[in-house]
Amino acid sequence: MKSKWVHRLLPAAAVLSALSVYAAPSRAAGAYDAFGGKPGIDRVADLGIERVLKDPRIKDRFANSNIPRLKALLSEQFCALLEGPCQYTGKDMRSVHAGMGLKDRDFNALAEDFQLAMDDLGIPFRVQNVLLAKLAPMDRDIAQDK
Amino acid sequence: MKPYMSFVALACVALASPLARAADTMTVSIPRLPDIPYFESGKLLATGGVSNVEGAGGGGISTWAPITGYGTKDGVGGNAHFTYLPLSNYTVRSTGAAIGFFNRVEVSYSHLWFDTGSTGAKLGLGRGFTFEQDVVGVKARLFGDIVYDQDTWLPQVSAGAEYKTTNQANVLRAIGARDNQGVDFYVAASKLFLGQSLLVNAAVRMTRANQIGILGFGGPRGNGYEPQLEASVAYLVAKNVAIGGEYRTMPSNLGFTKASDWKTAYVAWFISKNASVTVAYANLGTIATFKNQQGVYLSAQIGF
Repeated sequence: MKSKWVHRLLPAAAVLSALSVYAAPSRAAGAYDAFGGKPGIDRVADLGIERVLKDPRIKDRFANSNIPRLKALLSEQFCALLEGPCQYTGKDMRSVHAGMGLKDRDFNALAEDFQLAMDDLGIPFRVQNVLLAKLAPMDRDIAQDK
Repeated sequence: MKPYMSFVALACVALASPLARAADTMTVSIPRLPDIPYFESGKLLATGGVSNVEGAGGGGISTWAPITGYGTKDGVGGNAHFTYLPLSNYTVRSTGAAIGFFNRVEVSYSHLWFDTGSTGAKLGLGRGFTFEQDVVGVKARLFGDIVYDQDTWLPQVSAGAEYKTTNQANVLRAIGARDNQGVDFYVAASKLFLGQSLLVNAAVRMTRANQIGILGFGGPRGNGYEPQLEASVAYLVAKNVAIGGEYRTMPSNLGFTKASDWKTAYVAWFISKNASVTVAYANLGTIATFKNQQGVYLSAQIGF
């Protein structure tokens, strides 16, 4: 009786582990070029922030921001995350967002705005996801629970 | 229980939630209670999954770890579904609703009809004989987050229980089932490999249910809890389209018939955070001696 389900679980487990190997941690290699290098990333930061500033869900959060500087820093950060020849010169995410009371929904709203900006720029969905995968863990530092 | 009642109830909530959000942006000068928009629909599109045949958040026939709906840890989400699956010899319908609280706990209810149609006469049950099943489920997220945990191998893991009760208790006993009700327990793990646009899910379910409980619980060939596997993958083709497959093992407890593992290949289209449609090819194998039960699975879902 026991072997009946064991021999059915094993192939399924094998398939899952094979998939896990395929789905190795995301590599940014190639994504930097797919974005069109630094000029392409500049456009993503520019259009993304323009969308954010029109988004009623989160635009007020940027009322006191220096927008040109924000765009430049974001572009730097995206470029570095995509393993391009850039170094992020801004402050760390946790201290930048300290005390703002941001929630997951704010972080996600910004992500949605950037998805739309990348759609506008014709960046393929799977390439967009390479960047989003790098940004996603930042939710912990941006939407701080306390 | 009117079949469409829960569906309609959730429809009202789903339609009200965008209105509530619209109202939220207009009440600039009106003083109000703490600014906590529970119906935020704050999760990213598709990350709430769809509702499975038992009413829990997941795929079509498999259970996933995500909590249903689009509520983040600061919100409440929900979904209502209607599913129609005409098989070679039977017809399955399911409708139900699920609410997700603060991305932590999900509570679900589903009512399922298993209509034997003309096959009922061949089984000696009578034409159009229908088994009906109620499923009340609860799921809790234990740890992990499918979206944010991109820098670790840790999946999102949830545990849940489903209380199932099937009518036609006398018929179920006559075919050898020991009970017409039972409780399933499961642990589900989901890992989104966002950089690869790939979601992988696995769940282990401890169950005595024959064909998820439609044919009762336990039987002459096995009456105890047995672990069964539910495995599925979803590949995100676009922001609003996922394709994938599912595989779910079934115990063979009954004496008069074998049970087969269930399989699907599906496309899910997330029209918005308030509506999605899933179309699948489903093959449920042998059910009550009738082999090769396959058909096109259609599921519509509304929520927030």
